[in-house]
Amino acid sequence: MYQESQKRRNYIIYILFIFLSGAVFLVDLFSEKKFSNLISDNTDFLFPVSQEAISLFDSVELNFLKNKNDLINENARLKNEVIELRKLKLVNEGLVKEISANNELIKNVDLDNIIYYKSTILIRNTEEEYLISGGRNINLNKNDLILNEEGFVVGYIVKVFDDHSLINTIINSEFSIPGIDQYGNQYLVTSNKKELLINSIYIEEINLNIDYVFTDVVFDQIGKFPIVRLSNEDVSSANNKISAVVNIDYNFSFDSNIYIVKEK
Amino acid sequence: MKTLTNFSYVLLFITVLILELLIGIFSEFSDLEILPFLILLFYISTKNFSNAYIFAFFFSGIYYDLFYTSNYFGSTSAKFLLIGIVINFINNKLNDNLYNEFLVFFVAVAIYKFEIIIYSFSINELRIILLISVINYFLFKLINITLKRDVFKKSI
Repeated sequence: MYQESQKRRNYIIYILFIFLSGAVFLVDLFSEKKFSNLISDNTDFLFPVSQEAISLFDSVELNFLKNKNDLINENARLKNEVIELRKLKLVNEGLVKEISANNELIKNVDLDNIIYYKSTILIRNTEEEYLISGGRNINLNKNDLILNEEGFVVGYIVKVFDDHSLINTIINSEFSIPGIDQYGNQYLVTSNKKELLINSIYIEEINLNIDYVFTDVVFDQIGKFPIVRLSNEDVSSANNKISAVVNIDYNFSFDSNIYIVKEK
Repeated sequence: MKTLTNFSYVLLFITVLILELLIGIFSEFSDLEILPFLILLFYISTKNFSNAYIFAFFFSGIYYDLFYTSNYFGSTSAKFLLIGIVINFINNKLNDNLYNEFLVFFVAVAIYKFEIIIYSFSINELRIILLISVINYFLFKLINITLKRDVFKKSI
């Protein structure tokens, strides 16, 4: 009997604390996150992960596992690598041609006015969002674009802290960014974690021969950066709308080279 | 003394939470995650449920919302507290056997990962949640057995 009433009392107190959490939630909601930002700004020293710590983890090598078999395997791997390098030489020739094709794309970006900050991934939270290095210390703002090493947009900043930021990436289902093609058609690019879904929101000219969907200053973005390449994808048109689905073949890791784009 | 105990529980919860996030560094963002914080929540909710941990549940959620998400303040606290109540309630209603315990653990993982279920529900996601449940339930049992073992009672 005593145990039952104790259990009930526990439940009541837990429920009261859920209501307290709800009250805090409402305060934050109605203050448009000013409440949580104020507290996180003043207690940023409680965030324990730094870029130096991550680099330290990355540099740890487990050399003690090496033995004779490993060396034999390594030798075989190197031989294979030589064969692969010969194949890569052929691929390289193809890439040289592609570079010249991409020159037109590069011309669209005003490089003089832009700074690229190299960043690294610090942590992934339970909602599969990433925390990256760089925050208010380098004047980052919400919605600043994140590019990969090929210059494609792979995310944008959703929350800025002192020395780190939370980003929404193309592998988050909440990812949503407007874009424009070379004909002036506007799109909303969203993600289902495996694929990018490109749907037109404004049509200027129906033309399915689209090369890239870019960010643009008309959406308050810093300039033209490619979000997705459509030249090799199936683009469909129906009811005065253009749509396409593109597989995401980009994976985030601690070695990922990501860049934050800022205006000078 | 009570304040000190509450503070130490809060510290323990936050440490395990940070540990869980750091484990992600070694796993290189694999879908199959090890979730020590969830194991702790489950252990407290099923074996040691009491008011003593309420501040730990609440403040670990607040800490998480402050530095690791773009969620509104308090939403993760509510989630952790909800896991505590729901798991304890279901666990008390079901018979104490391995299948039921695993089922309760699966429910805990489902609540813990509810954002993924809501935003991008698919059979593949469900399969991943099931695999996460199996791996972490195994770890929970391992920790549970270790904690239960009383070396002084063992006959030599």
